[in-house]
Amino acid sequence: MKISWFHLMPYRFLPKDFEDKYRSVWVDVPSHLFEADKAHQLYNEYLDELEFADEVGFDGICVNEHHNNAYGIMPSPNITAATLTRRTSNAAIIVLGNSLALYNPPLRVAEEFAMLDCISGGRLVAGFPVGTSMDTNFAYGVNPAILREKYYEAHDLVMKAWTEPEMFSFNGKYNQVRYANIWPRPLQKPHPPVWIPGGGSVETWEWTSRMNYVYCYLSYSGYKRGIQVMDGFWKEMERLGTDDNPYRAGFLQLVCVAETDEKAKELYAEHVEYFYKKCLHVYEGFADAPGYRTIRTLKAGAVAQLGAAANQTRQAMTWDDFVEQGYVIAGSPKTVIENLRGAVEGLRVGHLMVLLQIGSMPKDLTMKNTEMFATEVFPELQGMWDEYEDYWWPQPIEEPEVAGVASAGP
Amino acid sequence: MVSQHNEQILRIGGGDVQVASKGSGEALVYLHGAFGYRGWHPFLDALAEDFTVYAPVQPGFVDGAPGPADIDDMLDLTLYYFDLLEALGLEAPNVVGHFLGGMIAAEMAALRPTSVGKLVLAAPAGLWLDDDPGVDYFATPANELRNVLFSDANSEAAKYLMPEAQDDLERGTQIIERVRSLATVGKFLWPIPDKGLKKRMSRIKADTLVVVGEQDKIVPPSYGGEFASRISGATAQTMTGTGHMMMIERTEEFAGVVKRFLRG
Repeated sequence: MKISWFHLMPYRFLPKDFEDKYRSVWVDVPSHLFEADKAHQLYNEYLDELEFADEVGFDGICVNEHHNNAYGIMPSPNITAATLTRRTSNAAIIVLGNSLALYNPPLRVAEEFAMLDCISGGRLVAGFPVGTSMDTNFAYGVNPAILREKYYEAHDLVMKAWTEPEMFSFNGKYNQVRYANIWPRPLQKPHPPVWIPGGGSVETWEWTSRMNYVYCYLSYSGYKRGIQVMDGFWKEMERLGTDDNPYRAGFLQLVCVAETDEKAKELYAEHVEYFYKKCLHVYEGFADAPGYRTIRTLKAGAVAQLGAAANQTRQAMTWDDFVEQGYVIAGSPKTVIENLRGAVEGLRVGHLMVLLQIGSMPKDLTMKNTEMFATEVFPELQGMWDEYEDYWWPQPIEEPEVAGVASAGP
Repeated sequence: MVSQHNEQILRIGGGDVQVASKGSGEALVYLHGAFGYRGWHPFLDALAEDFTVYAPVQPGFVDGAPGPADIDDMLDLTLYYFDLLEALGLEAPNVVGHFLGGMIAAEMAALRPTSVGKLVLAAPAGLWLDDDPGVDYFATPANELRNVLFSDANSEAAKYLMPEAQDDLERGTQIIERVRSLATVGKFLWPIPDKGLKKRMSRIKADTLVVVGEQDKIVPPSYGGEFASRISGATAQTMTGTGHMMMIERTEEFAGVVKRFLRG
């Protein structure tokens, strides 16, 4: 079992009446709410938190990409990852990931990931999400009608750039490159492990299975809802004749650990509510641009996590509901271990990602959550799935180099 | 008593296209916009009193028909409509286009000025004004669409085009319908409709009328003058008491404006 520490990098200072006053945390979130001096503080504390996760023994640290977004002020996860490669030495650097269709040419992604892999000594996991409609269609202007086609073409170009031994030409519909010949190339051979974050569409499952990639279901609705989706995933693997190695799958879960269940509520409730009520307050019109999902997926009744209905549901929920319904696994170490073990078994995931900095959670509390998880929860779960081989984990060199002048200490 | 229109299916560029037609006299091709493309509308009956009206349904709009898979941009789409005119045996017909249909009509007239007779561009897409962008219809949820399309969302016209869904099945159908239409026009208009038409518009030689609705939230009335100023000899007319769906909201008046211009 691999457990990784995931950071969204939320802006922690949205006004109290944010969700009443403004229609969306994403795409057209008012820019006057952003204060750069506060961001200076936030970036530094968030990087401290990620480095701390490495120090206390998490298997991986995860960063991701969002645009025009007040719950994720990390438009370039590669910049974050670059600082982490120099200040950490053990954890896998999991970039989940780069939305390939946004880069022109996507060779830039092949190059930057290769740099990260070389600097970190082969600790990189390369994530390739299509990207949400908010990020790709609305914030970056990519046409929803061509987004997926462009994504798959970009993927093919990146993989070819990593694996083709010689320089080549690429005559694509969206990318024409006469001299594809990246320097550097990845340290891991034939390339870093590839993880694909997705929202539960059958087409993506078929593809990840065929490509032998990890499928990650990054949901904020928790394991109880996630199990329905992952059941579908495993049934599809069976239908395709793909094995049931749990390391084929990843899942993101919000977790809050404290001395007791009551204490967890006292410490974390306001931050969890900030997350669900402010951070996920997305205008319905941005949730799903026309053409972002196929008519087939729409007809299959894909459930949107965002949008009016989901918003209304969440606005009425409180801490007890979030815990009860599994959005958040929270409580004493004993409660958390028990629920998390059930979740991991139910989901059948070998790559668990935990969100321990949630919404407005300040640094001291995040550190506490992280430390308690690392010392009391982690050891109890670590041995799960030991009978399976993880073929999708980075293969770093022995004792990779880190920052030489500044100390990597706390 | 209004007589029936005819329906035919033509094969163009490897896909089928439905074309409704009616009337006699000079040819008039009507190219629909993002909404209200389905079937036949009373304003087409009114136009068919004086013209032979042809109303094709753009590929991608109808369930089962192949979407414009090989039609990637405005050039492909414009060529597709040249092929359609040829298949219909029409030489230089009058072309009336609404929204994307208006943009296609303008592209046809710019690329091959002899391919069209007179042009009516109704709330045409294709230009962009930074200080008057209009509502982002792509980001308008299904339940708010009527407000955006009509000057009065509760009018008979609005309910005729977009009836209140009676059950979940109807609601689901409407949601899918919206996605299909907007994804199809979005292929050419996302995220900003300025795709180079402005460079080519000066080539248009056709007599051109631009009609805009005073309360159009999608193509605000300022676009009337903007289009007309870029086409030699064109005039712009603003219809009062209507939004984007002027041919549904002000059927008689719209048909009258078009007929007077085409006959004049």
